[in-house]
Amino acid sequence: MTRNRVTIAGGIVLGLGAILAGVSLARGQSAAGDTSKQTASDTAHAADTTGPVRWTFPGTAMSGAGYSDISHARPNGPWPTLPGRLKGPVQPIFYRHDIHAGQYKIPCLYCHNNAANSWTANIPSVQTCIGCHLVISAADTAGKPYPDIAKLRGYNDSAQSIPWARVYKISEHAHFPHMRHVNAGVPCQTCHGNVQQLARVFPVNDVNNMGFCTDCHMKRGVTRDCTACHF
Amino acid sequence: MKRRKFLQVAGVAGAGVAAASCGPQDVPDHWVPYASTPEDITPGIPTWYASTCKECPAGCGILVKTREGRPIKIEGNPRHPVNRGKLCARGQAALQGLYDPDRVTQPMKRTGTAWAAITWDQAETEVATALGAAASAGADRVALLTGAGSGPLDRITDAFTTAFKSKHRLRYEAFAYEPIREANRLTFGMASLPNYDFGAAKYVLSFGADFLETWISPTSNQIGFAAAHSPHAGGMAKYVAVETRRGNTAYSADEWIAPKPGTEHLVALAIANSVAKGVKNHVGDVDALRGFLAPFDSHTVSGQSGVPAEVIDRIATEFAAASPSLAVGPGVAHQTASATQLAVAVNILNVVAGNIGKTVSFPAASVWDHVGSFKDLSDLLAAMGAGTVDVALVHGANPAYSYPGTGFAEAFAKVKLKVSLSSYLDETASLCDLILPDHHALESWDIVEPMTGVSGTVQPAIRPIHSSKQSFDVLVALAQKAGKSIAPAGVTTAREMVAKTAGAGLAAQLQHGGAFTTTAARPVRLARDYSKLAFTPASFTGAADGLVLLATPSPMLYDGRGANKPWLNEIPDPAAKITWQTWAEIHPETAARLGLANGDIVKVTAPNGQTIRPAVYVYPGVRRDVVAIPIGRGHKQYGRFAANHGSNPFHLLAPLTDSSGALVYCQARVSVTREGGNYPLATTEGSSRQMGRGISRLVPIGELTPSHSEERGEDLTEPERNAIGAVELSQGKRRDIGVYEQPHAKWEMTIDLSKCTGCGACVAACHAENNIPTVGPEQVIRSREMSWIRIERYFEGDTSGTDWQVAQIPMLCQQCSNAPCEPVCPVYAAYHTPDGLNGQIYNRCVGTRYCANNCPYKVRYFNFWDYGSSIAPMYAFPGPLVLQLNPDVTVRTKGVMEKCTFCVQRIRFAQNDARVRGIDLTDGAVTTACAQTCPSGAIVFGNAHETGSAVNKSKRADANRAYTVFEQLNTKPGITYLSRVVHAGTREA
Repeated sequence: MTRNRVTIAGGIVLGLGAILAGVSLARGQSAAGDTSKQTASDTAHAADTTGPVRWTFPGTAMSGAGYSDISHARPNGPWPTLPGRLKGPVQPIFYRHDIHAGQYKIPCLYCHNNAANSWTANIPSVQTCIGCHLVISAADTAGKPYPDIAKLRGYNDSAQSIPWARVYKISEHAHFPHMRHVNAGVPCQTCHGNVQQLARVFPVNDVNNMGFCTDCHMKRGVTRDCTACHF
Repeated sequence: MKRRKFLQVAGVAGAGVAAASCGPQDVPDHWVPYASTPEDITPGIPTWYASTCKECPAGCGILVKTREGRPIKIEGNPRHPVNRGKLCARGQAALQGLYDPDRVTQPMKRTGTAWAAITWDQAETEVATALGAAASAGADRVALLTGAGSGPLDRITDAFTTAFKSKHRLRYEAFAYEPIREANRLTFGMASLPNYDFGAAKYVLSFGADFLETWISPTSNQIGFAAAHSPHAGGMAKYVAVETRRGNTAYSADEWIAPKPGTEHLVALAIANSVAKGVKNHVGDVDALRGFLAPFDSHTVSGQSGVPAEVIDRIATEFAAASPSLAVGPGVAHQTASATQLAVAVNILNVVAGNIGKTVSFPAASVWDHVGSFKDLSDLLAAMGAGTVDVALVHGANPAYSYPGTGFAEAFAKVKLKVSLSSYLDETASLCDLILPDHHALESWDIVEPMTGVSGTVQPAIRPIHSSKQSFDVLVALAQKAGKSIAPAGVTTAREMVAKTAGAGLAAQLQHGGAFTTTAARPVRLARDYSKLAFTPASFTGAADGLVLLATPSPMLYDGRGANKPWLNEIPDPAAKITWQTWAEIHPETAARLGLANGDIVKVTAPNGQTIRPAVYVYPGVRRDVVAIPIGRGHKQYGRFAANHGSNPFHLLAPLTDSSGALVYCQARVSVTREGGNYPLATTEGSSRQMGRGISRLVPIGELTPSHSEERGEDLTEPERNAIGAVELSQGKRRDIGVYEQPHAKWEMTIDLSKCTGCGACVAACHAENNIPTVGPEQVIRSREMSWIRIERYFEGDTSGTDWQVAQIPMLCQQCSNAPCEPVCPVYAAYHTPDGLNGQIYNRCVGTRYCANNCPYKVRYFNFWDYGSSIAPMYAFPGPLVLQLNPDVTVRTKGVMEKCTFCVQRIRFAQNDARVRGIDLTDGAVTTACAQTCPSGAIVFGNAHETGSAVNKSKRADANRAYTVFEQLNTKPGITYLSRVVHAGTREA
């Protein structure tokens, strides 16, 4: 009898737990539901199943919190309008991927060049930034210096590194070879989202969720060996 | 600061990335990229620098693997003629010297016992002023004491003492081989050390030389020895060890002869006499020797040494028949009062056997030519004690540790200003008034010339970690401040000196690690000066019933300089298998007589009244009248890993010299008494016998026929065969279980036990490559050591006499195709990869330890503590040691099982690299850390699916001695061992 009671009580607890978990799960989904997750993986899925995939500029723009509208952005035109709400960590310099990668279509690998030949995709050095900004956009048409370019020049003049806030961090027990993915033609956006629309970068995908990796690997029929990444 | 910019390494970035790669919890908040992109660094891809190892005077070439500006691993430089791509454990552990958490970080001044930081300018001004005053006070009031040095930068330091009107310029090494140099002067007219060609020798006769451990150039010796002393088309060399203690080197010996201590030189002369008798033709040199050798007939010497006359004659016959042969000795431990006589006898042996110019050749110059003797140090100390030395500078030597007794501290205290140029606060530095810390060799510039024709460059692989300054620069600056000039015009730094010396060849030398040419050996003529030596048995101090003390050089710690490196403390001594402690090796019968057992603390009392208290290790490899104590531990200072571990046998010695001026290491009979008390030995030795398990196998060379394995018969018993048959039925008759189809590779390894000497270089490489934590003595006592590869050592035969063999075997994960660990893992953390590895997925492991319990090879290691977390009590990488960690390998956390996976990160790196380049992965493009460094070349790694791969070739070529360990368990290991072939001995296993 006592035993039955315990069992019943346990069942209730478990049931309640399940309900709560379900609720929180649903919430989690709707919270992330500004479509970032689905759309990013949709991009990858749409890219189909076998062989190397060539990235094409996504036809459909993202919208929602954190995304700029770059559909009408033209080089030398006005900058894309900032979204109503910026997401992601505040950076020491308000570097806008929506201007550089979106409006001006600078290829990702121009700055993150090591992604093509190394495990890590590098964050560009101040030298890389100043290579262009020595001449570009020092000041607006009224001659007023842009505060963030001024900051950049400050870092350059003092030969200091910029302490960028980290957006993506893959767990230390996993090793991600960027160069294999870039060389296989996997678009950067597959994992990093539509960075070209981001005024401030935020973690679009949870790259530490192994399912996110294996979904893609299974669809493409590439390795599912644990020691491909874990060692 | 400007000169440090050459590497273009942004230190901040290095530190940032370092923090990112270790310590699981502390996720950094920031990415800190380079301010300006260094040309030679791609984050995530290693950059290699060619340099030269300065851990001992041998001068091996190294390639330093750096990631984001910090060295993480050292491998041998394949272009370098000394070590040909291989490196010993000590060389690899140089990293831990660089990152020692107890390094001196800035110039310091001592007041009483307290050290206070001062600026470089203050320090240099103070020393320069004192130097100037000393020089004006008179001649010989300045002393410069360094370790062995060679090359143009070292030569300039001679000008330093000259500039200050002093002759006190001494290069001191605790192991300086004075007897051999003096004997070479007496017999050949040149006080130098020759090159010994172990690779060409068909017979090696060693009189106590630990030539595979510390002796002169151990890595070079081992490369040659392993090639000659393993079965090959030209037969197989024989190695006979004549010494009172069988150490790691003599484990490879086919025969061990243990003469009475102090009679080794007589045995050598008796063998030479016997050889000379057999030389029928009139050879000039041999004829000249006949008269000298006549008194040493085998019967007389047999009575003195206890070695049977027929053994002496047999060895002589064999030695003379195998041409060219090679006699070497003495080793440092066996330097008796007759050490020079022994070295002379060894030379005579080589002369009568006709080995001079074949296996023994003299280069025009050697690093040893300028190394002083122990007597030179004693003379300098006498001058110091007399108060005639005002300023003493010490660099690269620690005589306060290695000088016998307390004589050094007393005399050194009389010097007015004592300056240490050491990077570490060792015993000598702590006696000094000022420390002007030197760069580590991996932060320095230099040109090292271990012998004529080999000019190895030393270049920095990292920007200086601390506010140190290279001692060459300091000496130049000191001279300049005192108004002297010692360097060529325009040269103020070592870097400028290297550039000036190399000239237009600088870039090539930096890329190749130096400039190497072949030079002709010096011709040798026999001199007769040796005849005035007295060839009588060496005498010993102390009571006649005492045990003869052997202070043995440590293959890991060398003369004690390795003690600040945790790897070298934790890699077991190859002979005793003990870590972190000092032990006294005592023969089982002697131990029984004295009532001693393993771990008993004994009081060892020298004739001079000094005592130390090591623990007993009962060991059949010493004579009954000998006690052997390893050198290297017992430091009072020298950082947290060295201080207060073990005891120092130098305390037991008196500063006696032999006729060459060498310290007599083997000088005393000591009394060994039970002190009461016992502490467990931090040993990794399980059983010293194989109990018929056939783990490491020996084959007498007579039994080794092309069809040896068939003749040996089936290894399995009837019930074992039946059991395996039943299992295979249940597994669906998949004989090839665990073996996947092409195009997957199947990674396999062969380990040739005929080549393996048990040196432990592979163990050090594994530590460096795989972020293996050191756990300390208390954890080793609990068998919680973490080393993924270990050298097991078993005795074979009756160890009561000397006719026994040692079977050694490197044991690592066997990568079984039918692995017992895999099916018992409840979470699939242990699983089989498509390329034939037993994968171990750390993040999946929940720590049930079922796998380790089910592993018959005991090669899985469990993290009982959080060794990788900086806030945990057992943190294994304090201070800058964390910078050594390999970012490609996960640092494991508490509760996780770990093990060897054939360096899967190296495999994946090579595969990714090949794919990105669009090329196929060729055989040899990827190898494991252990196989890469093995000086013997015993380990071969490769893809067994590739017909022509080296691993397949090696298995096929030696199929007659190939076996797998525990075949009866049907694990189908990926590692094939090749039995060790011996010239004598049993096949008991």
